[in-house]
Amino acid sequence: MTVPFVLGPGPVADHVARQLAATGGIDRVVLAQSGETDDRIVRVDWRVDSGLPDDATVVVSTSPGRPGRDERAAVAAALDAGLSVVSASDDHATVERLFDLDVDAATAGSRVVVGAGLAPGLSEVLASYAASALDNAAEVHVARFGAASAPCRRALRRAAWGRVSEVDAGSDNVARAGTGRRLVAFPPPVGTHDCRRVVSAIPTLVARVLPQIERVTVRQAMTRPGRLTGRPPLVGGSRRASFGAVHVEVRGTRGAGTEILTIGAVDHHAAITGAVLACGVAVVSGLVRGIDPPSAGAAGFAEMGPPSALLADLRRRGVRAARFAGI
Amino acid sequence: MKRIVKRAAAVLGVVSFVAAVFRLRGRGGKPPTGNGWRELDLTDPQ
Repeated sequence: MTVPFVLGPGPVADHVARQLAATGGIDRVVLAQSGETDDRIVRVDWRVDSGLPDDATVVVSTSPGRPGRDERAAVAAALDAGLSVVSASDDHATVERLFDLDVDAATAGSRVVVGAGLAPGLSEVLASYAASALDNAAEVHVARFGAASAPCRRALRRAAWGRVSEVDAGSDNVARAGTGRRLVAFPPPVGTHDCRRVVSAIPTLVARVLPQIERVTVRQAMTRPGRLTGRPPLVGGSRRASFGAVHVEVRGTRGAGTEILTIGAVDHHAAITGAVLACGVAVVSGLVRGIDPPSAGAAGFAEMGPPSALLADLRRRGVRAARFAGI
Repeated sequence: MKRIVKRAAAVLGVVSFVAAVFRLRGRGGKPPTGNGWRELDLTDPQ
């Protein structure tokens, strides 16, 4: 019996709940949001002092940045109770703390999935998929577009300031966030946008799944005012800023020549993040064809299984990846 | 001397205005117009 308990205030939690409710093998989903309850999704007005739902088997933390006090307490309680945890956070300190729980989680028999979202999450899976086509992958450059919700914009605003730790020639390279402007062509309809360095946990997660990579950079599409507000640029004049996209460039060698493979995805931001989180829950619950449940402990989303199997499950959930074949 | 300074200031003003217009409008390389993206075929080893 699998009963996920989904935490988080934004639309991502709603999307995860709907994705999970449509997943075979999941009996019901408990969503910590007020609203109408139906057969599969039970909404509860949850407080940290009311404890976790009795029959919960997996706790899903949808916060994009540092989770709130209640969410952190729920994750700690889940690990104490031996439940699995799936987190979408891109906050470096949160990611490090979850990885530090590896031994405790392994002892308790819990599985902790770290960085399960658009980027990090789908970005490392795409990088891993592209790297498998090269003889030697040396560089990964990730650019992302959009923000799913108000908490996501707040996380983005924080990520746009401070010191960025990139992997360069195998060692850490520190640069200022907001610098390193680069024009990136995302899949349509998002199109081409200026992207700048942001603080992210992606280099840590890429290094775990592709340890041979010598250089990792992470950028976010943003304008100068967007650095202050966290608002993403608009798509094609649209006033609705709901698109999310990821652009992953993997450089390396194949045969005698050097090769650059570009791969990406685009959709409603909350829908992609929800699908990746739901895929993480399904994997730890042993519900994904072709992927054995991971052993107890903490690991990144891309470490959950072969990239093609993860992408196949995400495709069933409506996330379609694309490759740049040239103009 | 005064006239030279005035002319230099006028030239500097015009150059600054033109530079500001270019800076605002941008005149960098043309971004790709064709989309060039194809759906990923998971059975294709690329």
